[in-house]
Amino acid sequence: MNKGTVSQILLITDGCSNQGEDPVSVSQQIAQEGITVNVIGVLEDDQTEDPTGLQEVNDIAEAGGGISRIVYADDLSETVQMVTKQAMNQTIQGYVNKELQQIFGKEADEASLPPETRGEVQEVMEELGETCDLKVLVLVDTSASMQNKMSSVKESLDDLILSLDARAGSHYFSIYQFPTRKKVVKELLDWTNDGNRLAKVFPKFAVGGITPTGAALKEAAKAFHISMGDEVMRGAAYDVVDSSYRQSL
Amino acid sequence: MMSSIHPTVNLYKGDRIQGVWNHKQYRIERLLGEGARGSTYLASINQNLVALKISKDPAVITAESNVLRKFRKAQGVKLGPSLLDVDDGYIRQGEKYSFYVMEYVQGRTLSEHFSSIGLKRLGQITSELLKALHQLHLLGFVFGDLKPDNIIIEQQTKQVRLVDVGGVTQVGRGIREYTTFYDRGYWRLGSRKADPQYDLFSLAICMIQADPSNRLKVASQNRDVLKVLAASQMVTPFQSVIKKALLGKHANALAMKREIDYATKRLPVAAKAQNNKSSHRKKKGEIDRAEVLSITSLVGIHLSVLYFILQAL
Repeated sequence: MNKGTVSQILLITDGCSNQGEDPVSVSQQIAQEGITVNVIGVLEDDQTEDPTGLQEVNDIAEAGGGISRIVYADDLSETVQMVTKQAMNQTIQGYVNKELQQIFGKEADEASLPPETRGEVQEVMEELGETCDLKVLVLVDTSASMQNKMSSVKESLDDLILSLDARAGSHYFSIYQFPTRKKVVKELLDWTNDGNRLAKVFPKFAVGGITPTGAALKEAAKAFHISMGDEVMRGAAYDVVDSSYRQSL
Repeated sequence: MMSSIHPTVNLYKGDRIQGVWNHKQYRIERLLGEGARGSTYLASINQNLVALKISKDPAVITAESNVLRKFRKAQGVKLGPSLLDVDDGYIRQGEKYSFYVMEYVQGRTLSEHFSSIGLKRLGQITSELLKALHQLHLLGFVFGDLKPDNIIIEQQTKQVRLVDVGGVTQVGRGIREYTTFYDRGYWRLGSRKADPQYDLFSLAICMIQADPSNRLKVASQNRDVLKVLAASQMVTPFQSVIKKALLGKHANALAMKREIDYATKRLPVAAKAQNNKSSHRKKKGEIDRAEVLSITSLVGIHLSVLYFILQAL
């Protein structure tokens, strides 16, 4: 990706991966390609706010250079747009700090500047945050336990698009689900900036049993390498079949 | 990553924080408020009380102090608390955090006032807010996170002040921070792009919130805020101006102010007294607010007729 585009994966899940590759190491690999991995863990209504089962949520985000939040389904809307925005700002901050270090030396970052100068740097970062292009790939866990949370997920994505539409920079989003009956991961919506297409996608959600988070992340990340409008390549991306998938069932 | 951590910095009464750049030392008195982006403490320096905002995310401090610095340039109307200092400081010899210091606006928030204000005062407060918002809009900014908790009625002067500039956004950009119920996008009545009408929408919701029936939470199911407005009887005299604000039909803050002022002027003379009475009666459950309103306005009309007759004599 070029410097003008911020690329993110947003994983929405409610539990641990239980099959296939380790999602934490996959996330780390994705981050090395310049794609941030953010994770939102969705709690059951009767779960406490710090359940041990969702530790993986934080680990995946940390490895992916992104942000994680663990919330109840009711708070998804607020969280999805906030995480996306914060992660984008964080990416820009990292980029600007790198530039500062090239000018002022190794130890320099935004915080080592006096407050007045920092204010000017901040304005540049805000300008970048407002105008840069943003690509968000949303990867939704559709395993059985997510079923009653799907309407909240859809609502939160509608809300995200509302926030993205308000920016000056252009944006593209894409939606993938995992798992499906035959595949690890399936493309539901190819890169688009048309929020209206979201409504047509969601009824298609089928709900499966296992949670191959690592493999799903790996396959979904490939979508960033496909140039838009390249029909042949695109076909290859969403028909990914993990050969180990059926055997291990 | 850093951002997974909550931005709250916990400070306690008696804690001292000294800036590393400007060397001013502050003593923490108590917590004033806590948000998703940091905490605000009451602090003292040389026996003066100030408000100190501190966050684990330095970008929050820089962004907000930037806004306050810009407001300094505004003439006439005070748009936010005055900015006094921006610095970094070590907490109890440990971590270093960014903070900024501003004027302490002493008073109660509009949400704390709701139970005790009458319609006339509500009209006045709204009018004052619109005047300030208009200045802000002329500077090219939108307040963004306008809600009763961010509106303070100063204890001494009774002036209406806007605090918490976290949502302040340049016109044309995406609103930086908002609260669900006050957000135009949430109610599907427009975008989240900063324009003057965004603030007017939030202000309209503030007015609806003054209604004791408080139906917004229920209405969030079907997202029909206009229905809530129709059912909010207390604010009926302002209904048409509120509706226009919800639909984004006021040309600017001044246009809405004119309509608010007009509606306030036309309120029954004894609007405030009625309200106090109704809240006394309400405890006994004898007469509801609407009944009191109609009875006293009848009395009001009779009195004014009598006044004219006496003058004619």
